Formats: sequence, structure tokens, C-alpha cells
Amino acid sequence: MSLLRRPPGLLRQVALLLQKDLRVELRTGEVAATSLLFSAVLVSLFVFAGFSTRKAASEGAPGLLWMASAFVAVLVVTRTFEREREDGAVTALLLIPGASTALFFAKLAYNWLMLTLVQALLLVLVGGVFAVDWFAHDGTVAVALLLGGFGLCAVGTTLAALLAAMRLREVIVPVVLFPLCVPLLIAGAQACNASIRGESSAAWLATIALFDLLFVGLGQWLFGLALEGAGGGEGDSE
Amino acid sequence: MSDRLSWMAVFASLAVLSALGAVFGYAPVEASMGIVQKIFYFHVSSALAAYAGFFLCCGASIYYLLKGDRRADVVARAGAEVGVLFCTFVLISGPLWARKAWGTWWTGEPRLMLTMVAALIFYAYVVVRSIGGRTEITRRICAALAILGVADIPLVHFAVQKWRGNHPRVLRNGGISDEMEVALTIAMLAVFSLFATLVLLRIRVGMAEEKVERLHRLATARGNDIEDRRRSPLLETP
Repeated sequence: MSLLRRPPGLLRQVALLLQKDLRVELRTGEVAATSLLFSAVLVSLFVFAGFSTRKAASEGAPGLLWMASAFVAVLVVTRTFEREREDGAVTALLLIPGASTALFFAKLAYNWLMLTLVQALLLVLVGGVFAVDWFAHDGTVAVALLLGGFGLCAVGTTLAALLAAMRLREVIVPVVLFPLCVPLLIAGAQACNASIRGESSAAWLATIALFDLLFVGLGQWLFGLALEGAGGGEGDSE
Repeated sequence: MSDRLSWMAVFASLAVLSALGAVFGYAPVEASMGIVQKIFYFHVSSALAAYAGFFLCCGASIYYLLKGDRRADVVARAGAEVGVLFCTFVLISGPLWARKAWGTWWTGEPRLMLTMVAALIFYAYVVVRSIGGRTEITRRICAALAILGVADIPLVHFAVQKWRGNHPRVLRNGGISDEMEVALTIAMLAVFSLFATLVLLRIRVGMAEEKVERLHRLATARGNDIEDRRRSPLLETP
């Protein structure tokens, strides 16, 4: 009976997968709790490293905000497939037709949500420690963080899928992710800088958007290929 | 095959020697920078060779992902490794030159940063290759990394250009003399023939590695087969 039912559309699949991850997260709270704590520790490290003196604050705060975002992004994305790897749940998910696209967007949405949550805390902490008023002129900082976080997660989710079966992946993910995200970090920090000074940051936001589009497109394609490989490739490596 | 490659190696060596001759014997000593400017000939050629290697790697990787041809994977690996070699030379010779020309080892000049990021991405590629070993999944991961990395290069270029491009620090080559141009052409020819020789050699080694692996697998399979038959009670002679 249920076999004859039409499979749900892409959006519904994404929603279902996201719902599943969020339910697990709401019950355990492990990703949110550890990431939020990590970001608090990170900002306290900035303080102890002497960054919080007034002179450095005006120039350096956006850079530190983005650096912290990148660190947290690594923390969030490397755990994308931890749960699925147990008991071979990835294989089960991939048995659903067309699931790799839905899986990519669901994981991307979940990571993005988690990162945004942490970025909100980072905004408050970094703003407080460095005495920066992020929204003195307009809301660009929030837009830049949202768009940039999306880009970080797009690259990160792709890398997490690619490197899921690899040894030392906790080290490899940041080693690959950070250089790839250099344009994002430059554009993000500059957009925030411009916004604080009351200048236009449209070109920087456009750069971030371009980055997002490029890496969502490539990521979606490579994610499918990587997972096919993860299913078929394991026998090959034995 | 082997003969042609030896001739290429001989040609490359002669080209490098004559480039050295042209650079030190024919081209004049630059007025303001002095003898250090001689780095320029090999520095620029090597930078181009490094990018040629990265683009070769990306092209071969796309072909590999689409067609699954192992030879394309071998070519991609050769391109990346030789590219990394030349890129390392660029990153060493660059600061030596910059120290003399600009008075500092490192500046925020756009091309410097672009080369730095490209080098980091492909160092990561080489590291993933060696950690992942000779498995199908590693080949796919590396192909994906090469594509992501090369797609990132124009974005990095754009971002650093926009960020630092308006600084008047950028060295503009205010036209070089004819002798210098001749020397540069010979150096370019030398470096590219060296590049081609190294890539072809690396491809040959790669093909040999593939063959050894295939034979090894075959031998193991056959060994197991014989072992099985020995253990089989039906074949035991009284």
C-alpha cells in the first residue's frame, strides 16, 4: 500500500530530513551547547591574547568575528555525518531516490541554522568585548553574517561529505576549508568594516553572494558524487 | 616513449643552461634593484608553470569524475604535484626579490596572496592524496578538491584585488628592455620544458604504480585461490 504512494518532493524531503536532525538536536542539544561554549571560550582567548585594547578594536573586531565564525563552522560541519555513519544510516538515506540533493540541502540548512545561532552569540560577545556597535549605521553586518555563514556551510558540508570516511578528517577539514574560504573571509570582514564606518558595502555583499552561488552549485554536484563513491568505494578500498 | 622522454629531459636541461646564460650573460643588470632582479626571469615563468599545473589538474579531475578514467586521475596527480613544486619555488623566490625591491619580505600585494592561497589549497590536495592512500574514494575526493580549488582562484583574485588593489604599493613593470625580454622568453621556454618533462615523468611513474597495484591485486587473488584449493578436502591426495 505505502509502496504505491508517490515519493515526497524535494522540498518535503529536505524538510523531513531537517526535522529529523533538529529533533535529535533538541533532545541532546550537543551541537548547539558545545559550539556556543566554544565560541565563548574563543572570545575569551582573544581577550587574553591582548586583542581587546581600544587601538586594535576598531580595525580588528570584524576580522576576529569572521575568524571565530570560521572556527565554529569547522566545529559544526565536521559533525554533519557523525550520526549517519553509525549503523550505516547514510546507505539507508541514499536508498531514497534523488536523496543526495535533498540530503545536501537538509544538512546545509541544519549547519547554517547552528552556525547562525552561534554567530548571534559571537556578535554580542565580540561587540561587547571590543566596544563595537555593529548596527550603528545599518543592518549590513547581519546580512553579511547570514550570507557568509551560508557560504561557509556550503563549502563545509561538501567537504564533510567528501572527507567523511577519511582518517584525520578533523584536521583535514579546516586545512582545506580555510584556504577555500579566503575570499569569503575577506569580503565578510570588509563588508562589516565598511558598515561600521557608514560606507557602502554592496560590492562586498555581492562578492559573498557570488561565492555562495558558486559553491552551492559545485557542492551539490560533488556531494552526490562523493556519496556515490562512499557507497561503492568502500569495497574497493578493502 | 622512454627515448622521447630522455630527449625531452636533455632538451630541458640545455634550455635551462641557456636560460641561465641569457639571464646572467646577455640581459643587462637592472639599474635600481641590481643583481637580485635576475630572480624575475625564473620567478615569473615558474608562477605561470605552477598555475598551468593546477589547471591541468582541474581539467583532468573533471574528466576523471565524468568518465572514471584512471589515466586522467594519474594526470591530475602529476599536474598538482609538479604545480606545487613550482609554486613552492615561487613562494621562496618571491620574498627574496621583494626584500630587495620593496624592502620587505612580504606585503599584502594581491598576486602574492593569490599565489599563497593557491599553494595552500594544493598543498592540502597533496596531503589528502598521501593520507587517503590509493583508493577509489580518495581519487574522487581529490578530484573534487581540485575542482573546488581552481573554481576558488578567480574569486580569491577578485577579493584580494578589490581589497588591496587600490594601494599604490603594487609594482608596475615600467616596460623592460629588449634584452630582458629575450632572456625572459628563453627562461619561459626553459621552465616550461622542465615543467612538461617533470609532468610526463610523474605520469609515467603514476602509470607504473597503477600497473604494480593491478598486478599485486591479481597475484593476491591468485594466491588466495591456490591457498583455497590446497585447503579444499576434495583436492587432498591420500
